[in-house]
Amino acid sequence: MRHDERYFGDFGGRYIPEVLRPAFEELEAVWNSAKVDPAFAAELKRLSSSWVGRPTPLHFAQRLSAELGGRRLYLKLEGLAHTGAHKINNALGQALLAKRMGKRRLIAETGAGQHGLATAASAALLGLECEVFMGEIDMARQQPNVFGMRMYGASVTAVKEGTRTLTDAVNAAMKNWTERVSDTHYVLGSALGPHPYPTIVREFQSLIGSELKSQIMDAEGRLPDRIYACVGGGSNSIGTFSAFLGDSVELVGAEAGGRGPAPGDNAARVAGTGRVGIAQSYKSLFLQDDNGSLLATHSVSAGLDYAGLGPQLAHLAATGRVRFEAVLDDDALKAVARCARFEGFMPALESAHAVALALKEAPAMPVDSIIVVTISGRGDKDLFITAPHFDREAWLAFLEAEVTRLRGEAARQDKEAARQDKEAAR
Amino acid sequence: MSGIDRITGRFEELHGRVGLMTHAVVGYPDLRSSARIFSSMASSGASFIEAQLPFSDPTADGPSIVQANHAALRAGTTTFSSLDLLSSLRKETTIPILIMSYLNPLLAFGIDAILDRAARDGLDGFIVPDYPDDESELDLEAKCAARGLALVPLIAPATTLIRARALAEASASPFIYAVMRLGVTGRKTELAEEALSRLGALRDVTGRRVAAGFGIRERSQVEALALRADCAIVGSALIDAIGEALAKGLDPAAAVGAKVSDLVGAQVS
Ligand SMILES: Cc1ncc(COP(=O)(O)O)c(C=O)c1O
Repeated sequence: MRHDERYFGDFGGRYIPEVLRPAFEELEAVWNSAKVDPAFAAELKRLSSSWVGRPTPLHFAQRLSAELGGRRLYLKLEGLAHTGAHKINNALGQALLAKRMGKRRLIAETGAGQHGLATAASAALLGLECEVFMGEIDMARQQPNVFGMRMYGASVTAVKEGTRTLTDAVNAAMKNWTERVSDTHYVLGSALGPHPYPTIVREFQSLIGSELKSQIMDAEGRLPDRIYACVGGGSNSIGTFSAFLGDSVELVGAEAGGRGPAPGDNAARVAGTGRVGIAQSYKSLFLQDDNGSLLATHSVSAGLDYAGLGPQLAHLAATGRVRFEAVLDDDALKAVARCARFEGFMPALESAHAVALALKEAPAMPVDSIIVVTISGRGDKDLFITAPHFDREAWLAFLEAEVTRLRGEAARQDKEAARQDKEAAR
Repeated sequence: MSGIDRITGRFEELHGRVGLMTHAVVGYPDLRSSARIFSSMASSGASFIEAQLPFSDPTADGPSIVQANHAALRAGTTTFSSLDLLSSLRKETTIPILIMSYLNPLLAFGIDAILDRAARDGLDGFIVPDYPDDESELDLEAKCAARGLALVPLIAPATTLIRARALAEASASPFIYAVMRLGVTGRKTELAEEALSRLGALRDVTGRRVAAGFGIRERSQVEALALRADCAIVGSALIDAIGEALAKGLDPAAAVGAKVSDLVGAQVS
């Protein structure tokens, strides 16, 4: 017998070990009660407005539109949400679910650090403990978010196994949960994993699409012709697309094309070589070898650097409802710069994949086209990647000077402390 | 003789003594050493062998076994070469050999293909930690049973006795696998009286033999299990013995043999 409610076409399911069964039954029950409870919705709405800053704006990109020969380009600025990305929509929602279950501790995996940051901030807001699992490689490249998480009181645990990126961070979080099922809720950060996560995450993210729909109707009086979003696990994309699945709007997902099509050089599951499998407790498309082991992936953006794909998107790819394309690292980097120069807005490297694809494809569309790109996050977190890329010498000089300055300051403080000790001893 | 019969026969031969199921990852640290490690287990007193197919994302395993999976893959181990190793092992020993694997390596090989191969080579059963009873689309249980192979039900600490009975009833396996604590494999389990007496209850409600594992590392734990379980399962402690031997430049197969002898309480000469 198949539990159809767990599947999107052929994809999804709940392939969990027996130890986690009680946790999933509890989660499913609380979700079923919360989603129809007006009080839950009201609380989420209140905090989404007063704390997250929703609704996020839909910005008409005037100068880029002019560059595109008058095709009208809009940017849905999720990066203006608190903590800098769409991730907060889901993290806050799940943190409220955790409270409802009486859990006192949140755990999360994170790639770019945005989901970890959002979970850490939500935990602080609601007075919960928080531990975030993050691949060692991602900690190094997204250091500003590591610092942010710690400021919010979370502990950040480095994952040193396997790929040392997002895929292994998911494993580490899931494993930690099997030890602490009774007091802990696992805040999964994307629309992937075992049922009911893909549904819960989509529902919490679906306000991206519903806001966007009414905003574009206000601005243009009609729906857009095409919508782009970047696809890591798939939360900002499914959150954007779900409001439009029944409309005649073309939906396009931008995957990480990385350094190119060779195995291990990208994270393109649909536009690349993903095959059907069951891993990380769900059935979907995975980048894998002939023995069924997941492949190492590469992307300049930590958030897209993941071997699997949310099951609903795998289904929408299979039916052809969503088109997927791979975008190279270099093109994403260029799109960051272009967006910054022309619109005064620096997108996250993840989101820049969607921008790059839209800018590349738009010229082939009719001149009266309306195009929307979801900017899932802002680029502040990428400082340690973009600064050395765009301005290597100046950045190196700055870092060197800063290290010297901080060392000197520390030495002076030590000396002063020693002097005071001596004085006190006298 | 079918795998299920061989497993049943093996339990009977124990005449009420507690058996020992020894686990290792196929291809760790490399295929040649791995073949010698499994042989050494068999000749040192193990009653069953649990051979894990290496996989990138072993989600129920702790650091020792994860690391062994990755090392085996780095050494070039494939599902094919793992099966070749096990079919050679089958020719050396009559003790039951069970394959432990996550779902994806089985899917990548083809479910029917790997079950056919296992049955043809005289292997005895499967342990699949990420195959819950309510995602039965793949029909693993019926496909195993049709080939005389055991698909061993895993029972967690919080699994109710009613559910344990239902899981056993749906299975043709002569034994169930009782997971002795929460979390992943590795860290030593403190065997509380409550957990031990639950083993007796599990035996009663399921009517099956009970093998107990997760965090069993020492002879004293095997002795504690002796009265309540039919078999103790030891994995990480053996992987650690391999790792320590390698670090000291010693023979890992000899180290595993010594550890297995110690676990079964044999006099080491
Ligand atoms: C800014 C940003 N965009 C996109 C993603 C990709 O995730 P998803 O596909 O779930 O939206 C991430 C993930 O970390 C992110 O931080």
